[in-house]
Amino acid sequence: MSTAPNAERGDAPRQLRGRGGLLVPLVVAIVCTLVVIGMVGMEVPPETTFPGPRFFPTILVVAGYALSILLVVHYLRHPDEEATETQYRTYSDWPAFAWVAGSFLAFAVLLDVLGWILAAGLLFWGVARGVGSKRPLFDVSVALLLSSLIYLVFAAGLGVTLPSGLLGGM
Amino acid sequence: MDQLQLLLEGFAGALTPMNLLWVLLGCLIGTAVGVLPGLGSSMAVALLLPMTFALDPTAAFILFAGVYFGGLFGDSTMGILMNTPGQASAIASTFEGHAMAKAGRAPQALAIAAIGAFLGGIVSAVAVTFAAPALAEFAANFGPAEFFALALLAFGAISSVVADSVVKGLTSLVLGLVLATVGVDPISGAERFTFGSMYLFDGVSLVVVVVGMLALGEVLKVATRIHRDPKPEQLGAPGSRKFLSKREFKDAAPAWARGAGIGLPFGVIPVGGAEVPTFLSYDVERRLDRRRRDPQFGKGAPRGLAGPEAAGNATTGMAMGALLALGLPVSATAAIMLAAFRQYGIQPGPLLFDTSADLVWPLLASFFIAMVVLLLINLPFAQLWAKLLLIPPPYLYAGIVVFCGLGIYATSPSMFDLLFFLGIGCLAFLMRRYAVPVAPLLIGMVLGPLAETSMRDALLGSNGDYSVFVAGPIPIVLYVLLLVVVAFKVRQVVVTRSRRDV
Amino acid sequence: MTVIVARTDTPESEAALSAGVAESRRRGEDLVVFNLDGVRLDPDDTVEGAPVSFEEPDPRDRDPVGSLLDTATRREASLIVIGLKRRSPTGKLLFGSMAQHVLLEANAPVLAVKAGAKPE
Repeated sequence: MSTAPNAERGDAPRQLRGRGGLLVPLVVAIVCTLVVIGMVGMEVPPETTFPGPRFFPTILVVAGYALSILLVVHYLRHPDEEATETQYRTYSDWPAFAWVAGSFLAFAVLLDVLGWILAAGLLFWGVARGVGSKRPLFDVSVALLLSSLIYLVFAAGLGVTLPSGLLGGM
Repeated sequence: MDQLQLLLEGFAGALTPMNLLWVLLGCLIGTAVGVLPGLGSSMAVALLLPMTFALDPTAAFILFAGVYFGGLFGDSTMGILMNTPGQASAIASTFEGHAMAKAGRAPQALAIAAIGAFLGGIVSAVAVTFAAPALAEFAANFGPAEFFALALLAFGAISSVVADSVVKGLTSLVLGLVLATVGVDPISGAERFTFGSMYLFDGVSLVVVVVGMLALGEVLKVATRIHRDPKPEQLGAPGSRKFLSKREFKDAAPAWARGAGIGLPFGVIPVGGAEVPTFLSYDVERRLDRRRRDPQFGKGAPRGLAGPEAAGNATTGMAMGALLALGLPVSATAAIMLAAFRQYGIQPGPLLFDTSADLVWPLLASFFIAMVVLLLINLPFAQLWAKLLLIPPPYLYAGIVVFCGLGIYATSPSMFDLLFFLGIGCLAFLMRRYAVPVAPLLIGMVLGPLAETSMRDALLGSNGDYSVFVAGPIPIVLYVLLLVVVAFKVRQVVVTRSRRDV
Repeated sequence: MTVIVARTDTPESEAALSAGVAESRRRGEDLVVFNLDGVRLDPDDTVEGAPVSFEEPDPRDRDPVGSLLDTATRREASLIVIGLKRRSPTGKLLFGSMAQHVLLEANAPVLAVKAGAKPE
């Protein structure tokens, strides 16, 4: 990884480009804050002696905040070069991301209602769509075939409990 | 020869028809996943982790051994044929391997890689068989201070070596350690960071984190780039000659030996697996090559492929030894194996060879069997594996996500865990996108409890006196090792800057 | 046969480039510019009027100098041209030197050029 010598001198409209990396320190800071909140509200049994349950997390929180500051500095000084590519407006293909993550979200929420075969079929179809499959109707059959096959092998064959959902009532 | 006796008994345990079937299945799955573009061996192991809980422990670990090594064979196959190594440890063998394939010597390159991986694996299996029990015996007198030093060494090494920036490595490590603190504190019994949720009472499930980090995060990353990155080109013309000539074999032989020698010690050094030794071996071969009368590097040098291949597998095999004897995972893949052991209530470490001998020796025996099986299915058929590329990528990735969902639901059937899994996947995507390594997070999560309890036990035992950490000779040696690793990293950073004078 | 020039963005390397162009003309051989940093610096297909081909190290390779030497082997270089910075012996001893690496390990003759030196 080599940094172009001029990368730091982005002109005005590009100031915000390539700063997406700041999300990383943000996440770290949020996690640390959650830990702090958790430590304040923690009920420690009274007979606990030093070092108690707060000892180790305290070290982590200090390290975590320090690292997130260092990360902010890092990402400000080294903006993302890849984001400066001109062919697309964003480096990442966000619709594809939304399809994959959204399908999984739907799967998680609907699994108990729809049952494995339908929910997993939906998941397969959504991800295939997101990754760029061009034949939605054909995908439906592939998706249902695979989810039914898994149901047969794992639920009937290996004894894994999978919800039957809607189809179970039929 | 106690070990030989035990190993033979292990073979007797492993050589049942059912267990042979598991080895074969593991080797096939591992190779297949390794071959598929963008999927590495650690993802194969992660995906399979929840699937195996329906099996008995011995069968499950034998299956794992097959996948663990099979993935490595597959990783390099794709590196050679398409210049897309499945995993960082296969990059070094890609350079000359792909150059050989471009020169029409693909079958020879695949054969050299397969034999190299086989030899490295066998050498390490022998080393593990004889060294691991001794290592375990040595580690049996480790107290809290020693274990804390060991964990610290692992943390320091993995976060400084894996990433290009130490800050990113440490960030990943801290996130992993935080995840590990969730749940009931084993020493005081206090509930930590559960925010009242009963799902977090037992802590964050390691399976959820491992599969989310390695499988879902990877698919998300691929999905956002698949239409934008240039497609790797497949090599059309297969070589005319199918087999390795005697001369080529003789040419590669010393490189195999050197590679295995370089790879072995790295199995017990926690620097994130086989990436460092493979590059080291590549560099050694490259420098030696220039002194020969007819230098081959750049044009497809068999030695440049043979060395790293043998080194990679020697490290990976030896890493299992470190895992079994010390409970120390040196790479992401080893961390997953540790998670698998825990799931069965087995704690790898010094006591394992006493308490679970009936599991350990068949497992070690199955390493040998897996190596032979892998050589048999890779040496003649490596080109056939490339046919797996005919699976359309959308179906491939969709299938992986469905299997993730299946695995998570099978281990912990709750909507909470599925949603948590999605969150981990998004975090993994963010980390991959901004070049934060995921291996330190996994190592931190796996070793976090060990680090915390041994640290607090040591302090409890000494009434809060911090000098307990440097009281014995072993911790001091381990801290010195840590300093060496850090010094090495610092030197590396300075050198790349000041070495440039051209 | 070719003449290969190690290219970076330093004045030393500019001097090396000029020397490489002159040398390739004199020998009547092709000129190869190897961009050590992996970034192509010369936009056109000609440098100082001479046609050139460009090579970059594989971005995954940790050792661009090794990659330069491999390329020299592959392109059958008859000469490797590098620019040379003045450095203290202690610095070279402690941190190594890319130039030294090229000089010691190359199989072709190496021409080392100082900044500001003009060919002819």
